[in-house]
Amino acid sequence: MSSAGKTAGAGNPVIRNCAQCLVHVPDLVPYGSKPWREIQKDPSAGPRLMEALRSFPQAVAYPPNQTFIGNLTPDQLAGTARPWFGRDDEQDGEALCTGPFGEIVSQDLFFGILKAANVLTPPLIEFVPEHRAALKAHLAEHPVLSRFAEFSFVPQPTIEAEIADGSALALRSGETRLGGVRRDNRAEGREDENLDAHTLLETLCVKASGAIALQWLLHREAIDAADIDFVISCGEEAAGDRYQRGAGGMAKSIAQMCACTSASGMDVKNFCAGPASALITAGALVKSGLYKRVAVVAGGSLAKLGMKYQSFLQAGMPVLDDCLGAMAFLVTPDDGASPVLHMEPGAVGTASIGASTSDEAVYRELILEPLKALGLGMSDVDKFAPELHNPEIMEHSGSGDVVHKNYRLIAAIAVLAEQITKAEMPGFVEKVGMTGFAPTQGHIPSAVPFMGHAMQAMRDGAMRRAMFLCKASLFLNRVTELYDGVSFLLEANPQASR
Amino acid sequence: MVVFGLNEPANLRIMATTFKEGDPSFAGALGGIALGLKSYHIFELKSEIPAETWAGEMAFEELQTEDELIEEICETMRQVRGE
Amino acid sequence: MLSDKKVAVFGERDDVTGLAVRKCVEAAGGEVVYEATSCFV
Repeated sequence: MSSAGKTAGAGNPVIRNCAQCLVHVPDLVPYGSKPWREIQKDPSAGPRLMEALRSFPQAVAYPPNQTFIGNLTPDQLAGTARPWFGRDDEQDGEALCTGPFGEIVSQDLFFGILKAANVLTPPLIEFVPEHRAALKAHLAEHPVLSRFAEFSFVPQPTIEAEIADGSALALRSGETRLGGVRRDNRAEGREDENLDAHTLLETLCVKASGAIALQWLLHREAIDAADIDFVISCGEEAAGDRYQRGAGGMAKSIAQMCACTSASGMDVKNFCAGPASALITAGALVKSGLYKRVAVVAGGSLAKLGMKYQSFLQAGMPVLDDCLGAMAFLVTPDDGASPVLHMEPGAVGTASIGASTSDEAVYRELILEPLKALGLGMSDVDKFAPELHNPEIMEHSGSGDVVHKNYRLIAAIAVLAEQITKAEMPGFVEKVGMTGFAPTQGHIPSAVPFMGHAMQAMRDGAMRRAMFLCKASLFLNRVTELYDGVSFLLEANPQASR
Repeated sequence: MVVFGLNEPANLRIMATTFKEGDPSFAGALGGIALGLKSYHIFELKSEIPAETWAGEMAFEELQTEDELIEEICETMRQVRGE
Repeated sequence: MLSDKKVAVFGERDDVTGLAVRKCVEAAGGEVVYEATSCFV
């Protein structure tokens, strides 16, 4: 490990804690964007999809999922023979659903949390009477998430008629219909296509999964919810109605659900680079002295469930994109122990609009400039964390190993910066790289799943610096051809070794 | 003509074949309709591009992509064109 | 070979973007009539 460069200076905030959770929701996969569209065109695709879904023990035992919650390191995952899927018979699924960073939450727990996330009357989510007690009881027993079991069911005309007329979506567990999600049928909501059942389910999934991550963060940190003074949400959903379609409010919705009564908050949007942008914003808020405990929260994406299901069916594999991702990070002033987020002038990597004329210019600015500002070279970074998509998902869907492509890019920059030779590229990738393990949930896999692992390694004295590199496809908004990049450097706290 | 920037040989083959001969799976709007379009990958066109533009836009891409993959891509495109 | 040709460009964010391909094609005298960059993630 290199001792070059400025010592992590006074005034930098730290990332004090994190939570990394997954929510296994096989019966919501048909409501992912791709499955939903395909099933509308060809209803026979529905049963074929359902047959290929995994059970909870299978999803829990899945090594990339175990890596996401911290039971395996990325290196241990890399050492695990492929294929990774189909290992449920080798392990006790029950015991492994929690890990150092969080939990793999089961669908029936999640349905209860979705119910808890509802604030409207009549409610957006309703469960049929015979399933209500079990749903609540299961959640009430949970050591971390039981606070969400405080909801009640109101006597309502059954949701079945609304499912039949298409204004509500069924919530099932296999063949059993448990209830449904309805559109906002009140006067303000009627006829607003942004408030249909599908969109509202998407928004509720962000809120409920984000709340799981935030609750885990509070649990891991062992603080009171009221100790959080600001929350930033960074998902890719658009929450609002026809006049304010993506106006947000998710941070405070999630924080309210977790009883963060002292917190205010806001949503930060930057496509996949949302989490990085949110962490940097949180760091700036802390460094300025405005806030002392800022939580960054990212809920999961319903839309991205089952995105690659056709490739899995074709390959005779189970559908692997069946989990929502949810993460939360706690940013505070320097505590003398936690890894430091470098916020010196120039230390954060950006992709200025002027530089975005070529890929090379973008990545030089994103990777080399912040290191230079800190007096560092690429060899001073122990690990680079780019997008960390599970290669088993990406390769089978025809995209190749996106993680590997990103490392080739990083290595190419090192060559252009004359820090390694072309021949040294493979060795460099081996040294600073890792295998991907995150589900294809957009903003979730974008570098930050490495956070828990990096923090652990830094606390153990096994790593000094990690650079987190996020790309954002801004061009998907259809009004620019730009893509964005955001990077930041995490460093082991220099005071921790004393 | 079509010029590709994607680097997955399998995807390139399907797309390039579709533009030439129609959709090979006979599904979709181009099933059975041959447009007869020739497809190239940008890596094949280095000699056609002014050196300064290539250096600014593509040198970095070439460096990132393994030599074997570049060769496989070019070979795939040649095969589809029937050369 | 590219000059005065009408070209459809298909890029990929993690490989070569449509923008980079378009700049090359235009520098060689081609006319880009369609451009898309996919983002497979």
